[in-house]
Amino acid sequence: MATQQDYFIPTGELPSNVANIWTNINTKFLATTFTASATYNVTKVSLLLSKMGISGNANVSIQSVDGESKPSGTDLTSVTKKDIRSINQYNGGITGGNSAWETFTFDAPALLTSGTTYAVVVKISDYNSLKNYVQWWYEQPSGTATKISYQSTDSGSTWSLISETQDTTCCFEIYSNYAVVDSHITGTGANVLTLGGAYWGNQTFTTTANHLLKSVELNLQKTGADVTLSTINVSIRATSGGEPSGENLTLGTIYGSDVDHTVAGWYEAVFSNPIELADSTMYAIVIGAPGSDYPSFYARGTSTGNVYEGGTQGYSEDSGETWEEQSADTDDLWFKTYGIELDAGEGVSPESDQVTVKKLWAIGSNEFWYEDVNGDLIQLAGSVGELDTSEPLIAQEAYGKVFIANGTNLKIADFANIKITTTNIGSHPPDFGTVLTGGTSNATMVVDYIDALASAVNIYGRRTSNAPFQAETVTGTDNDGNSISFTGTAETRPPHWYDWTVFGNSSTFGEMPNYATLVALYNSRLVLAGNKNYPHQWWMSRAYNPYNFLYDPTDPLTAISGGDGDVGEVGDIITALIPLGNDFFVFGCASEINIIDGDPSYGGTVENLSFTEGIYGAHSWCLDNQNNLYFFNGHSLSMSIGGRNKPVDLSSLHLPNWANDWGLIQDEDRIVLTYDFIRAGIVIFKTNLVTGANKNYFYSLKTKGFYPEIHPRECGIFSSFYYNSNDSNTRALLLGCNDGYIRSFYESSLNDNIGDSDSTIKSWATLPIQPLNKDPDKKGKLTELVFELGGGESGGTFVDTDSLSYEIHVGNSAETVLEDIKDGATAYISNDLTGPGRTNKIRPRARGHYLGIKVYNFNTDETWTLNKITGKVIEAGN
Amino acid sequence: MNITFELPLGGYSEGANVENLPSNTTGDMNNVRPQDTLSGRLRIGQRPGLGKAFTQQIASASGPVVVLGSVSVVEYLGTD
Repeated sequence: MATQQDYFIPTGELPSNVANIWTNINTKFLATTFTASATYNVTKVSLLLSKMGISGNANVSIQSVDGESKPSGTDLTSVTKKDIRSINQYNGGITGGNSAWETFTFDAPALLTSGTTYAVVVKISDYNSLKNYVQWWYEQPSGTATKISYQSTDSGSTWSLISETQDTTCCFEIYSNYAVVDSHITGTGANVLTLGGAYWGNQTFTTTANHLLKSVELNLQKTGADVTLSTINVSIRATSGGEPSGENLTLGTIYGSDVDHTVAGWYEAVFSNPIELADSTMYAIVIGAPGSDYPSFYARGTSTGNVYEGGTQGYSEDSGETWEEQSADTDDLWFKTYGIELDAGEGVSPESDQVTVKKLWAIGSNEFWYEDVNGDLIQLAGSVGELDTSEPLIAQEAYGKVFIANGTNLKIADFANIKITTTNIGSHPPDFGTVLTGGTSNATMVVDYIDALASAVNIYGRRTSNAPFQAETVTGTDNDGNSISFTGTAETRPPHWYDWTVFGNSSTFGEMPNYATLVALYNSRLVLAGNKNYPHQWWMSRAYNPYNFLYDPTDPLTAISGGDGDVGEVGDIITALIPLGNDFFVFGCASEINIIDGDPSYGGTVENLSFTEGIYGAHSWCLDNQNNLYFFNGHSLSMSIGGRNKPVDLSSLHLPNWANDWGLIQDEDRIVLTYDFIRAGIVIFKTNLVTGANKNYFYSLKTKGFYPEIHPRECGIFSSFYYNSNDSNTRALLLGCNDGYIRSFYESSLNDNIGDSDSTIKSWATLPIQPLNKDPDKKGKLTELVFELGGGESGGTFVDTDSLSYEIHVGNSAETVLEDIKDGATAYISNDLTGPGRTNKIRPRARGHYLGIKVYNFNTDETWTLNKITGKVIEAGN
Repeated sequence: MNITFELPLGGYSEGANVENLPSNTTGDMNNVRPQDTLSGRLRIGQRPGLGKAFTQQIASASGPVVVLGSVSVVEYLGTD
């Protein structure tokens, strides 16, 4: 839980002073200085911001200040936040302007010292248009401000006050992690204790407050480049006679692989079980890496002078059984403890209701990528070259893993399990669900998967203890009561990449198909299909066990495939797998749609939903927020209410020749359907697999209309997914594009991004062709025309239309007029309109039987909306 | 005669002769949607643009992103 430290916030609900600040050029920086009110680790900052147009990446840093109390240019910590699209659009209001607090979490904490002045510095990068800028809202407090804001127009080389006549302060909030409660960090650092194996160290300390201890930081360094340092255990113990005494009160870990050998650094051990420490009481921080050799790392501190009065260091040669001091009383380890100070009887608020973290993943160019803790996409190293994205590929999340069906490449990306390895599993390998225990660490895990049943084995399972597995003897009992014992390596954290096989890669657990291109999750079972040798066949794993494909008619949770029980193969070639809850499962086929109703191993049946419509491809369907199934059948868009009612055609009225109009060729074109719940519509994408050339429709669930769209080839859509991220910045309908980027539709995007540049959106609409006379044999004349463009009046609160152009065509028939417009014939009259609101009267004097008006915008960085068009028509004879 | 021109809020249609297309539809439009990007009101306007959701290019190559999804994990294991 973060704690708010220093801040400057509006005195009212919104900033009350006029104007705001523009950061609309790359060399312009803004900064606000403040003096730290306490010593703390700054972890994040919130700024009161709004924006115009779109914005690039924002870099926010904490800097020290120079002799004039201006930013020094030296970052103490910083973060570059990707496209800050979540910032509210400025609404033109003088007060507040639709501003909101935007949070930036730093890459690493930085220690701020009480009484020292610092600066929050903001700069915008990747900026590409004078129309786009970020605004940092401020106030001008009465009296002399203690927090002052500056601006620089030369990238921070020189700074000047934002206002020379009145103190100005931009609104900010600084947050820290848990406060430092006790510490010893003075003096010159030295290697005080050399540790590893049975050689453990400790530092006793005396608390200065009653508090809830959350974590401890130690200054460590590995002894050499070739040293393998396993997990470092950091525990808290009581003391007796100035030495550690008794069992661990709590335990945290530092991953040895994180500790550097070239330079010492601070490393934090977080206690997943925080404990309450009493005031004025001596405790001990105990440090050991029993899974490593001796020597493997240094615990650092001071060895001369700067004595810590609240305790001293010590070491043990027998893994913490007995203790001695290293040398003189003047030696002390550097340490910092973090926690929450408590008054007697004070409660602690819950830290968070969040218990899981979502990670986006994506597959392209034969590789698996996923989202890291910073929100960036990184490669899963083991996946390189293991997939063939030129072949059909579908993937499904289940049980914290991603199961991939890519022909003969059946793979798993495992984000849930740890891995331990042994060169000899022994005579009794663990079973699925076996609990294993580490003999030294007392770590425990529940086995999920092993890749062999003998000799060298990789074991994957969910760790259920705080303590991690070290290199140690691991024991357990298998399902038959046999003892399990083997020597395992220290655990490896997820993610992992491995082949998806049956458990132990042994036929004891059945046989998976050797080829599959479709995968889904239904009733806790992984479902496979899309085998080109058995195109009507399907396979389901045992419930809750994706590594068991053995059919057992006596087991109600058994694995099953078509023909094993009462449910046979599907009567048509399977093209799509669609799970619709746990009640029924839809097989989309080439020319049919079939349903498995219930569990196929226990009374399930097959029903036919349609004998005349199939589903075009594996991506050619989607569900809306009411579980209605939409699919493209090769010539039209259909919808099945709840996914199990007869399909209803949605498009034939408006698009009777859809397939021909699109020139659809099944082995060249991918059709992707996606539900855009933000805009209440279904988007149907057609993309050429080779070139990325595309044609698309937005089907509005509000108007029931179809709206054609074309995107740049780079943005041809190959996949889509609504990502319900923990982070609101990345929560969006995501589109996997032809050029390897993941994009989304953004209202603030006036163009289409095509990599390093933008592509203009060419938008147009021809109004319904209008007869100019009620008598079809007579002509009419349009004498007046007025447009009303969206945005109210220029400079008001509403966002404005940029510009809109128009053409007027007349002709003898409606079809002729439309044809002229589509063929690009010379218009009777055309012109450009700028700005929002009602235009002046136009007097076109356009004479004919029928009239067509086309509105369009082909300009970069512009958008438009149209309220209405009115006019006056008079009779004009034959 | 004063006239208020119909706007094609109903979208694109080629299902009837041009003079008798379904109400509020047109035989010619592109990159226009019935919900504007300025305020989200139901009126015709240019569609939203496509922008990068992530700065990284998958595999740093020009091949398409063929499938997307998410996975839920328990954080305390310290996954990357």
